[in-house]
Parts: sequence; structure tokens; C-alpha cells
Amino acid sequence: MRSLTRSDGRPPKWLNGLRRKANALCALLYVAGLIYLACIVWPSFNDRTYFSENALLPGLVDDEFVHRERTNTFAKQLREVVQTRYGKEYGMPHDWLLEQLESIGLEAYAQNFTAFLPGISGAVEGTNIFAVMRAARAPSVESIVVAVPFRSNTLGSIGLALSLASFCREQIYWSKDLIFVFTEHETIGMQAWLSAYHRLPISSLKADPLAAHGGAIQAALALEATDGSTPFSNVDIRYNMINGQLPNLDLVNLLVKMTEKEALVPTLYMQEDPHGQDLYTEKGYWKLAKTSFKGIVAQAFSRADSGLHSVFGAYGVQAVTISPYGKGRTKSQGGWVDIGRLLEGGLRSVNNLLEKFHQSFFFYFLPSTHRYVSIGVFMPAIGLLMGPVLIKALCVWLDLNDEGESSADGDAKAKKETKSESALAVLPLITKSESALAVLPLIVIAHSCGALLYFLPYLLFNAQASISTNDQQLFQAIATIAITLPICPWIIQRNLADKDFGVPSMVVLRVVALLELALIVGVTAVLNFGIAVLVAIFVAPISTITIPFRSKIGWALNSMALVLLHPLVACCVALGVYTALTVPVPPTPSWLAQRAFEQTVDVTVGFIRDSLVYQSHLYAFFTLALFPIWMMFWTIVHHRSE
Amino acid sequence: MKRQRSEVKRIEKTEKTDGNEPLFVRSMDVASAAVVVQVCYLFNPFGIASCIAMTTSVFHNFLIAAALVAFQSGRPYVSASVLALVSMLGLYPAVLMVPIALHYATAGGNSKTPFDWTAFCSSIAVFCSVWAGALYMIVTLSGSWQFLQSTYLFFVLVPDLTPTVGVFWYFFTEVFDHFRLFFLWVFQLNIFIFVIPLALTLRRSPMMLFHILLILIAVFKPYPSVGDAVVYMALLPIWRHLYLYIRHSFLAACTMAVFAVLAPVMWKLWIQDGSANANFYFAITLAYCTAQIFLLTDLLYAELRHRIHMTHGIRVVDESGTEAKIALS
Repeated sequence: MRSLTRSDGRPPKWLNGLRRKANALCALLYVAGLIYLACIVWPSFNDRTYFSENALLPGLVDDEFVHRERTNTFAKQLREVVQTRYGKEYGMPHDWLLEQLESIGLEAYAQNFTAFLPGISGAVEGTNIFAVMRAARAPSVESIVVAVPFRSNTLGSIGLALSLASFCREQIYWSKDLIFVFTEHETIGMQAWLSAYHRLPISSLKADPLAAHGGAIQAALALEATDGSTPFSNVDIRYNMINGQLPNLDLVNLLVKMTEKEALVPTLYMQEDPHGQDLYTEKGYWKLAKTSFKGIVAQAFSRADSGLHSVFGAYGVQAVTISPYGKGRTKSQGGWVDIGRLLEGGLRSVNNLLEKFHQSFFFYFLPSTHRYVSIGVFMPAIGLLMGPVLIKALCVWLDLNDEGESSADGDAKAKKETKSESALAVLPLITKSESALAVLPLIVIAHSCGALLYFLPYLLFNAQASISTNDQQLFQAIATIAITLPICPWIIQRNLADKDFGVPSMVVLRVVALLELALIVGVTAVLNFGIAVLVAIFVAPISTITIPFRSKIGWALNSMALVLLHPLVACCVALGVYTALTVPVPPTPSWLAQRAFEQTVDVTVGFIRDSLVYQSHLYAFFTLALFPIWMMFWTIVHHRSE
Repeated sequence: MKRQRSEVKRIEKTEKTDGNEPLFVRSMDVASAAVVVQVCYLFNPFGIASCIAMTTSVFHNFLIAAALVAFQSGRPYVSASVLALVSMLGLYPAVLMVPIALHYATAGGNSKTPFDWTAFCSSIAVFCSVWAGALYMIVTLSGSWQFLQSTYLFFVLVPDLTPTVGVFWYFFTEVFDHFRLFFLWVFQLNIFIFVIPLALTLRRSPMMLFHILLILIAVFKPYPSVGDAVVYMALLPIWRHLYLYIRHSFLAACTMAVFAVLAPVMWKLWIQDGSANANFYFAITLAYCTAQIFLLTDLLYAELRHRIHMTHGIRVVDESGTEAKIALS
């Protein structure tokens, strides 16, 4: 390529300018990245949401769901059954549900499942109840799922789902099957149902095969109103799925529109939008920024607790959870019937679809319910934040190549050879073959440590075994290994220095670590933008300044920064900061530390459980991807040049 | 299991040898090259991935390596026969016959030796006859010429557009039917047309021609896979004396690493999650092809530059004594 080198093989002129100003450029790019992230939330730099899929025809039909008494009756009966049968324990009355669904006229089935989770003694057993309403006008090739979890406070939602099912049964315009699923143990049950529906078995979840199928699922709506008293005033729309996946923006926009049609206020993360005239003011900006930040964090650490919709992503199904809440002011709006009409409008829109959702964005985040930031707008932020890492890697690589300027150890041979080739671009990796090859064991060790951390839970706690352990033991095992592993490179370095591999070149290791970090963050930015941008903000600056310092102070500062970045420590610190910010009363440091530690235990074990049941890749990301890079930087900082 | 390969290096003597040490092949490099090449082959992630996927590229690579061993150890007709077997399996390794035939036509001499047309034609004749014999065997065993539809015509007509790491599938999903034949010709010619200028330039360096044609085949085959890349990547350490002149190693290596990680991610996003679309996957595949082409042009540049320095010394000075800049025109 002409532009990448001059035709006589020397690097282009702009590259030399880049190398001279590398540090300033890195700092500038990082700050520009942070400013960019702050700017894209401002409404002038993003767009108003719109409907890409014309077939949806949202909100055009008159909603006909008026069955207030039916809804109340179902809910009341359900409460009575649960009270009389289970008392305070709120067990799920499977047979009652089956009976009601059959009396409506749907095909009702039950599905048993068993989940084996580490840290929980025994297995988690449950039964899902689901009913299929066959489309009158079409063969059963597509379906829409309405899912409600069974919990002590979702009895009202189940009543609404039952009356909605009876209403839908009476209509003739359905072109897709409607499948109503009532899950036990919430998302575990939903995952069991989905894995059986798609015939994709999961090792830690034993799910019985389903008695009936309904075709490819086009969309799923989950309803999860906690039983506050109606009338509701707001509807929380939750769309974050496992592994940072998001449903098609059309589906989210559809539900926002349906909510507004029922004169309810749609919210994201319980944050209301800034009012119309406040949008371009400072007050509005902070609201938008807060919602965006919550969105990023929710996408980054997406667990299954936001709703039943979160497990649909792995099967390529677009799903959203509706969660009505709040205190409505008038009794005439915000009742269960209005929620039912909201769902009916959504179902009828999805019913119109000719193809599965593909028109609108899949990669976005929402500052408010009516504004979106798409991948084309937020991806440059990753480029700007990771730019310093790449520039540093390039500069270090070119420094390795330069005549007489190499900062590696023991390269007199390189100096002699490079003297004579002033006009040539040299590749001295081979001339430094001794010290470059010696880096390979360090890289292998770093990645093996990560792999050890990853497989540790599965080795220690076999899913099907009867070893009952609790969260504390699991966390202790992981933490012990994670904290003692950093000693490995030290030990290995001592042994390696004697052989004729030569001393490992920290410069080469630095290039490898920086490139690997850039690669991991870049790839994760496409999969899960939230975690990528958080890692980029905190890890990128530290990684560019991690070098084997000569001075004591530099070494101490670098070590401290790296210790803070250790995944477990970073988790603890972040949770501590979050707790300190959200607790109303200023906490004592000891209480804060204890809370942060407990939450770290919860979060770590939660990640492991999620990876077993929901195939969440967060634990793998931290142990297989980030921890080896941290180990490599730790090795670089603590390298003793002899 | 791969056999060890031995490489033949031709070291030309020039008048000035002092200061020119980096130009020459060091004997320790020749000794260690075999081990390094083996290690590069065995630990190549693409090779391991091919093994896990249990593809037949293992057999293709084995036969190509066998042809290379026979080629370098001076057995022309054995290498032609083995290459005929590979070409029978996949059509495109047939172009590798050109460097083999060229080698036996120039018979390891320098630019003064005349071109031996007899050796050239006889090696090609052996190649063709072994191929024809193998085809005849297949016809008698299967009883008809039906197999052509599933093998050679499949490569040539590209009926199946399952996404691969190549460039054909994306383009042919968009092509209109009445232009399909035209574009088929253009795309298929891509492999064969480049052989002619490359052979003319590198007629005295058949090993380099062989290597470059391996890269060319891996890029421009209709149905390539990452297993095709393993052989030429493993052979890179033999050009130790050319490393001085390779310019884009960093860029090509980084692009390959990014491809190795990003291609499965884009595939998963497109096929499994339904979030991305074909463009995401094709973009990263295109980056992979670009990295391979960078490698190809770098090798070619390094070889040509090395030739100049071998005749003029490592610092090329013109009459006035100033250092000349050597440009690739």
C-alpha cells in the first residue's frame, strides 16, 4: 500500500510525527473520548426514535380489551387458592392454572425442570405452565410469547394474563400463535422452557421436552407488575438481555407508544424522561445522562434479574418486559385493564409482522424513551478511548525496530546489525530471538491462570454431584486463587533467567499485552458495549502508563493502580462507591467495606451461576479475557531487570 | 503428521561481502528452519481449528507438503504426481505445477543457464498424465462422469453461496443472473491470470513462486477455509534472510489476530443472535483477505529487493556516492 510506507521502505513521515508526540496524543485522545461520551447524550447529537418496520402499524387499531371484572375475578381466585393451599409460602398452584387455561379453551400443558446450581444445596425444581392459542388464519409457523413469572407479588399480572388469554381466544385475526407461559423460579423456568422449545440442551438445567410447539417465536412480551395497588402511573420498559444483547429498537418503541396511548408514562430504569421543554436544558441533560449511565451499566452487568425477557436473547428472539408501577392519580386510568390494552396493542402490532424484526437497530442505548444513540454514534467513543492503547503499542513496536534505540535487555547484536541499515525497516524481533521467545512462557502462564480461574468453579462443584456448598466457600476458593496467582510470573521469571532463553523482554510483553487489550475491548464493544466502554475508561489509561519503572515511587504508584484494577478488587471498590452514593445516610467505612465485600461475593457467585444457567459470558470475560491481561501488566510492573 | 522439509537456498556471491552479512542465509537458520516450520505448523491456531472441525484440509495440506518435499529434494516426477493428486481433489493447486516445472527447467543454475524446455514439458506431461489416470480410475470406479458435477463443476460454477472466509459468496448473492457467467469468468480468472506475471518475475526463484502461489490460492479460491492458510504461514520462517525488507508485518499480523477473534463473533451475531447482518461478517473476512494480500506483496517486494542488494551490495550507491533510494515501481 502506497500510503503505509514510502516506496523505498521507510516509514511514512506522519508516523515519525506520531512517535514524537505520542504521549500528548494519547492523553488528548483519551480526554476526547470522555468528552465524546458526554456529548452524545446531548439531544442535538442523537436522534428521535422512529419506527423502521412499516408492517408494525403501531397503535392504529382500536383496543377492545375491556374485561375488568374477568381480570379481577381471576386475580382474586388465584389469591384465594394460593392462600388456602400454601399460606405464606406462595407456592405455584399448577393444577388450578391448568384448569383455568383449559376452561378458557386453550391447550394447556405443564413442563417440569430441574436446575443444578453451585452454591445452592440441592437442586432447584419447578414446573412451568404454558398454553398455546392456535392462530385461526394461519398454519402454526410463527408465534408470540406472553410470559409472566410466578412470584408472591405477580398474582395480579397472572390474573391479567389469564383474562387477556380469554380475550385473545375470542378474536379471529391472529396470524401467529400466542403462547402464554407462567414460569416458576422466574428466569430459570423461562430458560428451561426456551431450551426445551428450541431443543438446545443446557448442561446444568434438566428440562423436560414440551408437549406442544408453536413455530418460530417472533417476539416475547413479559409482564411483571409487582402488586402495588392499581391505578398505576408509570410503566417501566426493560430491555437489557443477558450478554449485553438488546432487542430490536422497533419493539421498544412499540411498547413506548402503546404505553403513551394508554396515558401512562413510560420510563427506563425507573427514570422519567425530561419534559418537552426541558430537553435542551441542563436539568434535562442530567436526566438523560443518568438514564444513559444506568443503561450502560445495565447492559454491562446484565443479569437475569431485570425480567423474563433477559433470557430470550440467546435464541434470537426479541423480548421486552413491561413493569407497571407507581401511584396513579385518577381511578379511571392506569388499572389492570389499561395494562391489558397496552399488551393487546403490542400483540396486535407484532401480529402484523411479515418478517422477523430486522429493520431497526440492535446496537443502541437509550438516553430517554424517545431518543436513541446508535452504534454509528457511540462506537467512535471506543475508538477514541482505545486509541491511546493502540498508539502506544505501535510506538513501542517501532522503538523496538529502531536502530540503536531498543529498550530491551541484552541486544548488542541488534545494535551491530542495525547500524548498517539506515534506509531499511528492520524487524529485529528475530535478532532478539532469545529475549522475544522468552516472553512466550509468560504469556502462556498468564492465560493459564485465567483459564484456571475460569474452570475452578466447575472443577470444584460438579453440577450433578451432591456436594452442597454455599456461596461463601465458592467465593473463598476463587478469591484465594485469584489473589495468589499473581506470584506465578515472579517465580517463573526467576527460573527462566537461568536457562539460555535469555531474559524476557518486557517491551515485547508490553506490546503483546496492549494489543491484546485493544483486541478484547474492541471485540467486546460489538458484543456488549456497556462493559467495553467501562473497561476502556478505567483500564486504558492505566495500561498505557504501565512500564517497568526504575524509581521506587513510580513502581509503587504503578503497583497500587494495578492492584486497584485487579478484577476482584475493582469489583469491590466499584460496589463500595455505588453503595456509598446510593445509601441515604453517610456510612461508616467499616460498614461500607463489609457491605462491599458481601456484594462482591454475591456478584461473583451470581456471575458463575449465570454462566451455568443462562450462558452468560461475563465470568468468562473477566477470567479468560481480562485477568490474563492484568497478569501480563502485573508481570511488566514487577519485572526486575538483572 | 508432517514430514520435515528441506529448503534449497541459492546464495550468490558478490564482489563485496563485508557488511553484507544480513543478506545471506545463515547456516544456523537452515538447520533450525525445519524445527521452526514444524512448530509453526503444529501450533497454528488455524490448523488446530481445522483439526477440531475435522475438515479434509488436513489431507490437502499433507499432499501439498509432500509435493514440496519431493520438489526440493530433486524428484521432479514424484512432485508432479503428488501435485496431480492434490489438483484432482481441489482444482486450484494445479497452478503450483508452474514453479515445479520452472525449477526443473532452470535446474538450479543461475541466470546464465538456458531454459530447458524438455524438462519443463516432461514434468507437466507427468502431471497431466497422473491426473488423467486418477480421473480414469474414478470414472471406472463410479461408473459415470456424474462426479464432475459435484467436484470440478462445483468449484467452477459456484452454485452454493454458504458464507466462507472468501470473497465469492457475498458478491454472487448480489449479482444478477444475466451477468453471473461474466463475473464467474472474472473471479475464476483471478487465480490463473496472476500466475503468468508472477512466473515471469520469479522464474529464477521457484520456491518463492510456490509460496506466493499458495497465498494466492488461499485468497482467491471459491470455497477457501482457514486451513488453507496453515501451510504458507508455516513456511514463512524459511525466508529469514528476507525479513529485513518486509514492511507490513505488524499490520498483517494484527489484522490476522483481529480476524481470528472477530470472525466467529460476527458469525455468531449474524447467524445465531440475528442482531448483525452479512455485512459485518463479510467486512472481517475482507480484512483477512487484505492481510493475506499484504503478506503476498511483502514477500514479493522482499524477494525483488533482495535480488538488487545481492548484486549491488547492501548499501546501494550510485556514481556520485550518494545512497540510492530503491523504489517499487
